[in-house]
Amino acid sequence: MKNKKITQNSGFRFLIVIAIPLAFFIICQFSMSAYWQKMITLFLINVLLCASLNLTNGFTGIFSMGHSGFMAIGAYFTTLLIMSSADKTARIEGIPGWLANVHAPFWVALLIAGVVALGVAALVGSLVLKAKGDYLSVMTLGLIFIIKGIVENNDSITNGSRGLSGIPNKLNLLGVLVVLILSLFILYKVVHSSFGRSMLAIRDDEAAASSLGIHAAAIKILSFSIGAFFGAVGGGLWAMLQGTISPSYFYLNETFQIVEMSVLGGMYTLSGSFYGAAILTFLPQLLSNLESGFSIGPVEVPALYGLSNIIMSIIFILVIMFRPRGVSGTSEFITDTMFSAKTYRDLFHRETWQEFADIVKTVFTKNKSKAEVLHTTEKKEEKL
Amino acid sequence: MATSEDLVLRNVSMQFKGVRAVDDFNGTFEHGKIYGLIGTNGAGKSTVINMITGSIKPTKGEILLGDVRLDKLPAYKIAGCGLARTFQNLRVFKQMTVEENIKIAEQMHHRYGFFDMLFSTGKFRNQENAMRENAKKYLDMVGITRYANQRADNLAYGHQKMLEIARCLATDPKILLLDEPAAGMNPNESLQLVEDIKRIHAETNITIILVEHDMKVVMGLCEYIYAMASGKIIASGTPDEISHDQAVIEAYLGGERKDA
Amino acid sequence: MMKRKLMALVLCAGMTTALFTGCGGSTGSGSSAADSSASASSAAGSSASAGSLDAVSTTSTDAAASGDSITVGCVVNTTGQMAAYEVPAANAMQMAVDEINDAGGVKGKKINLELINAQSDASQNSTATTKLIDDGAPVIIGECESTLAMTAGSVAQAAGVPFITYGATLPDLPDRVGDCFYMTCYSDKVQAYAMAEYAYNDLGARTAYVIEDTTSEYTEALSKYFKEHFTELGGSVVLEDSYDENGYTDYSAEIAKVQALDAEPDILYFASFSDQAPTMLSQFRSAGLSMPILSGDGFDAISIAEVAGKDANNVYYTTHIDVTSTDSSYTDFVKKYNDLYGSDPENAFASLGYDTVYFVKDVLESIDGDITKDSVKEAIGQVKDFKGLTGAISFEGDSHVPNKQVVIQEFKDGGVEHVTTIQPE
Repeated sequence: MKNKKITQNSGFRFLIVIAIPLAFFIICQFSMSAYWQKMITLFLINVLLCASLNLTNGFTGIFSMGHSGFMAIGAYFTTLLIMSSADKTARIEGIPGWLANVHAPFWVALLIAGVVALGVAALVGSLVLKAKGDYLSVMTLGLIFIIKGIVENNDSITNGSRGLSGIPNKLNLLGVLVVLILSLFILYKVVHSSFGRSMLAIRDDEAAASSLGIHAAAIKILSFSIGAFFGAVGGGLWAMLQGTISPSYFYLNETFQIVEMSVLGGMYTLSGSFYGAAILTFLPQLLSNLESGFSIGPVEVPALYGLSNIIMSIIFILVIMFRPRGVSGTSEFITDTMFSAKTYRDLFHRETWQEFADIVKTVFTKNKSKAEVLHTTEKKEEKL
Repeated sequence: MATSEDLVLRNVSMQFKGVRAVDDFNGTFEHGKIYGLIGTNGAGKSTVINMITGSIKPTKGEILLGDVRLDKLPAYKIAGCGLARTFQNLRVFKQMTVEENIKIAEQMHHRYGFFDMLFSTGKFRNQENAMRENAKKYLDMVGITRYANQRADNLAYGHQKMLEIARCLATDPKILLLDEPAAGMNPNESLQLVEDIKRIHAETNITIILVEHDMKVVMGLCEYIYAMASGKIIASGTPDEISHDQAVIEAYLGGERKDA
Repeated sequence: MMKRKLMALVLCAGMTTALFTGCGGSTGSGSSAADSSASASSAAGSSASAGSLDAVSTTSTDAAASGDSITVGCVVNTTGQMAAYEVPAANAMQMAVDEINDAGGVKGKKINLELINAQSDASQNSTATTKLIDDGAPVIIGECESTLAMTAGSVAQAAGVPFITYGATLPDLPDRVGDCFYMTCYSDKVQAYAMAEYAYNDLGARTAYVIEDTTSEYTEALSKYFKEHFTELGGSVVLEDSYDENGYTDYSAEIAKVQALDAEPDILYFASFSDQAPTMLSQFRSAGLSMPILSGDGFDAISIAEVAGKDANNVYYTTHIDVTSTDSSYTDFVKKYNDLYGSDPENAFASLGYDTVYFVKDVLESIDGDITKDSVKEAIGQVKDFKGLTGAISFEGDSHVPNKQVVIQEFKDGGVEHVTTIQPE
């Protein structure tokens, strides 16, 4: 009972979702190693990629597998717009003059990349979203092949399969955090509006939704396109973080990774993207440390290449079996705390903090009283 | 005599592969009246409803609301013309709350754009508030307000049916099509349903078209009835006329005249 | 409730065990399984490890305090797509480091090989390199695939840390990445040129048919440079074809085109990967086309001869090392690898990795003052007389690509034979 209460207390929520993580990110930016900065930034980018996919897959029921295609669009458009003219001319053989000279500040580049992806998604969506279920998923997969082919066969624009390196990084960890929060805010607004409700209705029962005046095709295209927009922004951020891109970096493995994040974390919520991204950003790297063999106390565990893949697969299977809606289930704890005005309003009310203090006290006194009981029983046993 | 709010079907047929589900249906549904559509299973009643609401398109004939050709419009646009329907197999939005189900229907008349949504403009807030208030109103109308925040599929079957009706009313329709609303109800519930529909009709004065098996409900409500068998209309008229019609008696009422 | 708890438990267990190793410090998380003998399970999931991995090391490379050791960073992809190529390299590199340390190390200090497995993933290659740099490695070795080499190399370049690839062969990699990037293998230009010379001079070929797999930059480069040099020498490419699918299986169109020519081309240069080979060979040979078929080091896989059998006869390819060599330095290497890992080195990358470690040893030994990323970078260009299993490695002038020998081998009756070794001018 008490547990339920504390998770509804705005003070608690503010601390755990906003204040403490924000403090952590600031500390990370200014005094942690380059490696951890990179890892945390990667985590933030993955949250964005996952959340944008959740809009399409979870909320609207379109199981899209083409997300890394939009990432590719985002990465390449952003790169070509933020790289210096000299760099582009040196690296891309035969680049047309206008392309070499075009340049934009990073935020404009990200916007343009997003809009292009949105346009592509709207076009493709209008053709493909009539299909249902598995057929639709397979068709979205086709998008990845097409985009890869386009990138590989237009060397004078994209440098083809050679890829591009030397991409300047215009955003540090906090910059990426700002972009993420802005994007999540927009996604949150979409979900909590007529558009969001329509998406849910279509997912639930398309025929019933149509009978209530909802233009199902248009809503599906809208959802697909918005997902694509933010997928592209994520792709652009990723390109800047990595410094190097190549068409092979936006292919099957990458799209599966994002889908995995989405499903594991909970694709029916925006908050789920945090859990999914956390698991898939940090766990594989942690686990790969195990693979070369290690020791726990006296026990020697030998080198087991592929162990991390096995463990990840097991986790995936367990989640699907026992918690098919993902870690977050139906709970929007994180995004609700971040974006609902109530959280912030409550901070100014004394009752909120009073309640919070009370609960914390009871937690400690509960433990204390437990300890007291143990202590007295021990004493009794001594006496006996 | 047909006004702009009358629904007219002219020579409407539906041909599936090898089966003519509806054969040359001609009918007028005048504004504000309650109509019944009866027939045995497979007579084509649901097909007629599906054609009117746009789930399927007739292979022949015309469906007009005033002078608008409904048979040429997609389902969502037909709904926008003022037609609302319930489904035989109950299609509430199971995973959404009762209130959200109504809000979806309200969206048709409470529109706002992306800009409003993003910046929580006055328009956005007003429309969302209006939708919430109206939702309460419609839930009151069918008596399920206390379930407003429950998931729709947690409700009892009867309440879910009322939810579907409330959802239809929330679209502020001109014509309400009810596909076997009394299915699965016991005699008491059917009686209550008749009262509810009468009350709704009195309050809103919309056209109601009822597809039904339960003759008590049909006779109790309808001003005019179309009787179908094997896709064709075999008789049409007032309840009294229908219950005395020989063809209807043979096909449907089982050979003997039964008291309504 | 139970299920939720079970799930949480599993996740916690996984993360806890991971933490035990992850937090084991920056210097040893990847170092070899010390003092344990085990037979590792073959990799699951998407990776394809070659052979079994009995990791029996003769010494323990403990995570020593950095005062007595020199950290050499190593980014490997021992799981995932690149596993088959890189696992032998990782093994051989570890073997080399252990040998060097047993013999006294470098200037009395032990080499601490910090190996991180980036699982063939782009993001992980980037973060792994960052970690190695954070941990103070003055030099980083790694990668046999050019795109990943570009990713990892760029991170090193940005930090000014020299990066040496033992297996990525694209000729303009150093140009693209920067002046911290070195290759200890020859470039595709070198090997394609060498094969063109062999075809023209030794096989007497004057006409060639070239088939190119356009899904990869590597095969595109091989094709481009072969054609370039073959025509330079005086030959002519009478027919060209390309395909851009992975797993291309039907060569009937190509065969038909060849048969439609007036005269059969003297040779076929097939710029592709080993997995394409058996299918292509059997189709071409069955159609009666018996001309010599040539390729690059992508064909360096004994499986081709084993699977294609007689069809693989008269097939020549360039590679880095002569596996039939009776040179004691090579046979000792093979025997030692076999003792440690249970099989002969599975591919040439093992030798390349081994050589690279010894090259780095020479570089480190040549430095007079402190060993830093800058001093290492300067020293790399100064080491002129290194000779390893795969030939001589040195960097002339501004070049970051060594002028190495090219070994040509052919398949014969299910096995491999050495043909010649070409030292380009």
